Amino acid sequence: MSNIINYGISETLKALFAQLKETPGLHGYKYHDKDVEQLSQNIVCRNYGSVCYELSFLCWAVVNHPGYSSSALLSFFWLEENIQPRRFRQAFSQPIKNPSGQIDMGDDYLQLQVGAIKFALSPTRVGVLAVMLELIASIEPEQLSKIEKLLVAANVQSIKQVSSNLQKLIYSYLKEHIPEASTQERFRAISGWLKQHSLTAAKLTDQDVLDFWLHPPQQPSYIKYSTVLDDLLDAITAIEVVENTFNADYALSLGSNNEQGEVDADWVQNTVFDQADNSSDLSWLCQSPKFLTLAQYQPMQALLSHGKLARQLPLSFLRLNIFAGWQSVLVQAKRKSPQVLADKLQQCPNRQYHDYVAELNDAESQCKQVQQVIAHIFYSLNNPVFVGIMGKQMPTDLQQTLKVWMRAQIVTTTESEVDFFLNVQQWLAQHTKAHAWLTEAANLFKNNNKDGFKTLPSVADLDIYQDGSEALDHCQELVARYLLVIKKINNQNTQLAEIYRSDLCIFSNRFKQIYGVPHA
Amino acid sequence: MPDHLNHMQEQVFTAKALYRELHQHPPEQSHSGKSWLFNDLVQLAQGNPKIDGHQLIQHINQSLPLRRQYMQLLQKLAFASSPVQAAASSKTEISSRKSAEFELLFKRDKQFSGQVYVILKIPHSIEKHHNQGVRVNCCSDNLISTMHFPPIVDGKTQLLMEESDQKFINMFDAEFAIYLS
Repeated sequence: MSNIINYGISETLKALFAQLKETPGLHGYKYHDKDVEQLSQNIVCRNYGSVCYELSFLCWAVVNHPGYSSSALLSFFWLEENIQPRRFRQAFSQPIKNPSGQIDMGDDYLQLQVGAIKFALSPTRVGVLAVMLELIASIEPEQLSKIEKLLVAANVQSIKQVSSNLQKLIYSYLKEHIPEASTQERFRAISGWLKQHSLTAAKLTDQDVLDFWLHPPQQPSYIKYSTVLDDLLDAITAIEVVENTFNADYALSLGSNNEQGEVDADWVQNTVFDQADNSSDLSWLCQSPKFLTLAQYQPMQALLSHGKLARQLPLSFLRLNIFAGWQSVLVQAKRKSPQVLADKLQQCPNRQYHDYVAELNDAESQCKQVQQVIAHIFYSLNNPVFVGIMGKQMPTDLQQTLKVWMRAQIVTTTESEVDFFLNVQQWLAQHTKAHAWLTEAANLFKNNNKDGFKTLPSVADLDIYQDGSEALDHCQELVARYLLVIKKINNQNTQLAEIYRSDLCIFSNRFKQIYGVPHA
Repeated sequence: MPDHLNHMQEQVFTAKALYRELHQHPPEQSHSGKSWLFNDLVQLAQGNPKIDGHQLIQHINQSLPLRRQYMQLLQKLAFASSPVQAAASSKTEISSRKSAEFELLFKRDKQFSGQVYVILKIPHSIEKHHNQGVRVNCCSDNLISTMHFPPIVDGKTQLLMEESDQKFINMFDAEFAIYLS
């Protein structure tokens, strides 16, 4: 029996995306995790047409920039790394006018005029587009000179031609590196099993998940508990989201638009990533600025990945955290020798359920602390965003007082941001508890030596701190709600230990079945 | 259930599963499992010490298009170079490499036979040579080797090498061009 089910993505592509996050730049890593993840969403949904189109306009602007006469793309994207909003704005700070068009940096967008066509590029998109260009250059380095040749003094037709060439390149690369047959087989196996057991997202229980793992369908081979949980929940949410979003008539009309029955890739991406409150990988919180360490983030990862289903299936996630880890150890041990495997099968996992709960508690309080530090940063830079963060993080009674005051401000005044900030300071002066909260925030900032928190950032770099605050808010809420469910299960403080003992028996027996008991 | 609905569910599942797989199961960063990006070539050609030059150059040497690509980058980005020297005699080993910007020579260690001090002199070095050191690339049609020298102090830097080390031999082989980053 094969012990690893056949995955759909080639090792090369996985390694390529891992390297996109690690490749060095002028300062630290060249690309931000967030941008790499954004592009990977486009890739897995095969929704890269608009990215190629945008990138072609960006390349046109760079190639026709008088400051880059030779090897323009190499100079702009690799040597100078004009891929962060600030550097990008700076590179285009002077308006450019030439026979093929005009380039002007506005307040929010880089405005391009190519013939009769106007195109706006946001400086915050350049990071993602740069990752796409890196992917293209890594697949076929000669593309850079091809793009340059096609775009010098070019019209819109040439830009469209470049976009089409890039799409073809990515298409044929993905054909080789993401064969979809294996994921389709997995979906069909799970949806068949769910149907057979009359299960829907609302009905699924922890026991069902365990039953699936203990008695999986014949094909494909499901061995790893983590894969079972991920696939089962991914499939059940996919079924639910489609049923909820579309009625059969609309779905039919979608299909009739295309003879091959192709599903709109934009809709898929929007459904899976943009609208969903789960699925998103927030590991960029551990990059720069370093909001969390990896050790603080990792316990939350599975919860973030499956959102509300984690609360519906609390035990499955405890099992995932403790026993899937044990299974990985066994897989490694099996590769070494039968004796190492036998030893590892005899040893219990070194963590129990209450250890995982403690880790989540730590992660939650860390999220709170970092939020406080971010509030201090905004406060110190006279930015009213701190009021929003403070409003969510302060003790409940103060939150209420602040809300009442805020409402009064909105009704009575139409003052500027500066006046509003002064008023908030006055409010703070009247509320000693709130003031103490901010003083504590200042101290936490002083003691935070992580990357991005050693000194106050510049105002131009505040966007990422606001994104970080929102992501931490999401993490904090998700963990708090999960812990509440666990608290109910463990109301006498003994239940978790009992469940653990029983699960240890189940998992231990199943692992012995899967991996064999050598010399038995 | 209509086929279209089923197909849409399959697409949503596929996107979720592939995304998870792409990010949650990073391959082991072994030599064979690692992928290299165009940026890695650029960084190596610029002499960025954060790049694992040994691994990357092995990868470059396995592919003719990559070797050509890297050579083109070196030609564009190198601080200084010394071309292949016309074969004046059948013997291709030379005792030093000189250009307007640098001089590369070696001295044998008197105490330990087989060891050589390779000395690199750059009279007008640039800032990065003082901070991050100097990368020396030796390039022939079939092979590229690369070495990282420590930061320049008082216009020079040196590296202790084995005389039998192929990288040392390439450095003083007239059939190899030298590029400094």
